[in-house]
Amino acid sequence: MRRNFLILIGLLAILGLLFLSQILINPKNYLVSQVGNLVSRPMALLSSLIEISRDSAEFEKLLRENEVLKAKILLLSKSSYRETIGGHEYLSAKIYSTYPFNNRGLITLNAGRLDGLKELLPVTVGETIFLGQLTQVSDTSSVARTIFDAGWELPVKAGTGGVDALLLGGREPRLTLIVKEKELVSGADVYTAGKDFPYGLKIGTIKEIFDNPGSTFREATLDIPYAVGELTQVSVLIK
Amino acid sequence: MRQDAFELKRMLIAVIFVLIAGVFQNTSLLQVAGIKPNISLAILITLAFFLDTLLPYLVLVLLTGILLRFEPGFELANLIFTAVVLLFFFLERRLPGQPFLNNLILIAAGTLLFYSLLDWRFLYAEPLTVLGEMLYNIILGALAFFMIGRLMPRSLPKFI
Repeated sequence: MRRNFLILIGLLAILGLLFLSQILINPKNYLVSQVGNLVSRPMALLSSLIEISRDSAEFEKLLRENEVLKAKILLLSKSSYRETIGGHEYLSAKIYSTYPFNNRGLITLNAGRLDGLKELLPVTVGETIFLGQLTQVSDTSSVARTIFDAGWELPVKAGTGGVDALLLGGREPRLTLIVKEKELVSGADVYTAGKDFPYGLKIGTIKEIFDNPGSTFREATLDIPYAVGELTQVSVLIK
Repeated sequence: MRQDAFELKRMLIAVIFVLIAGVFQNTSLLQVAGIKPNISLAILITLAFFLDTLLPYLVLVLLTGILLRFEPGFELANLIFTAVVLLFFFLERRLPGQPFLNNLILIAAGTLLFYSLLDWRFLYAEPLTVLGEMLYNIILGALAFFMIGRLMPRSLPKFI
């Protein structure tokens, strides 16, 4: 009886402490980001060494690239910063941490309301490739939902003819509701067409198109031009 | 006295395992083919086989809960995660057979139960992801069982 009571008290204490621990989220994200960088560098170096052992010329080239990248990292690591490209203003932000489980495609960014961010702003990779949208903004950080979030649906267009389709989020985002009569080929660009985002931001390209017997619609898989697990920085389209 | 130091060392090793798992869980460093393992779940379930009392285990669960917090406010994922690992802490003691195999079975069941409670639609929307993660968790759990078994012996060595 006493044991059960202690267990109950323990569980309630855990719940209470978990709730209070939200004040630790920002420091935790910062710490995780720093430790993550610390761990990722030796790992990247190790994989680079394995690669370059195959070809010493490639090794030299990689070393030079590495120096350039280090210089860029140094520049970018100073802080988030704004830049204007093609008339649009972007804020470059680093990814603090990624949602810990596979069922959501969320990322935390190191910029927030004090940097001029607000909910629903589009998030891009390299300013032109659509990645997602800010869903939660605090003073110094924000959470973005990405196209890798299972269950997110987004109206898009594909190909030069602008074929309508619906993007279904997930680990491997795919297109549905593609009308069979419309011509669409592998390699065609897929871009945003929803009212919530700037029109024409590229999402990826069509990989394979599948016919659904008994349905008037087709489906397609996508080639996404980046590896989401390797992203360390994104841009937020401010205006 | 020596026993206390021995237990403290075991707890310290367990905390280090939990911290490392927490860091990996928050990054994409262990992501393979887009699948991120639930290394925190695998480590906590494995640690249940090496910790005899609830209190140190509760501390480890709480620490993991704090490390896995992703957004402010109430987080269902955190609550479900906590419930699953605590349930398996008690279940582990009632399972017959080899602890090593029991560990792998509980990790597989834990992965399924976690997503069933958190977002059951995810199970049929992305079955390959769930299966991939389950296999990944099992592999990490097997490695963790081996490592924790070596680093956290259950009793004080006789020759000391």
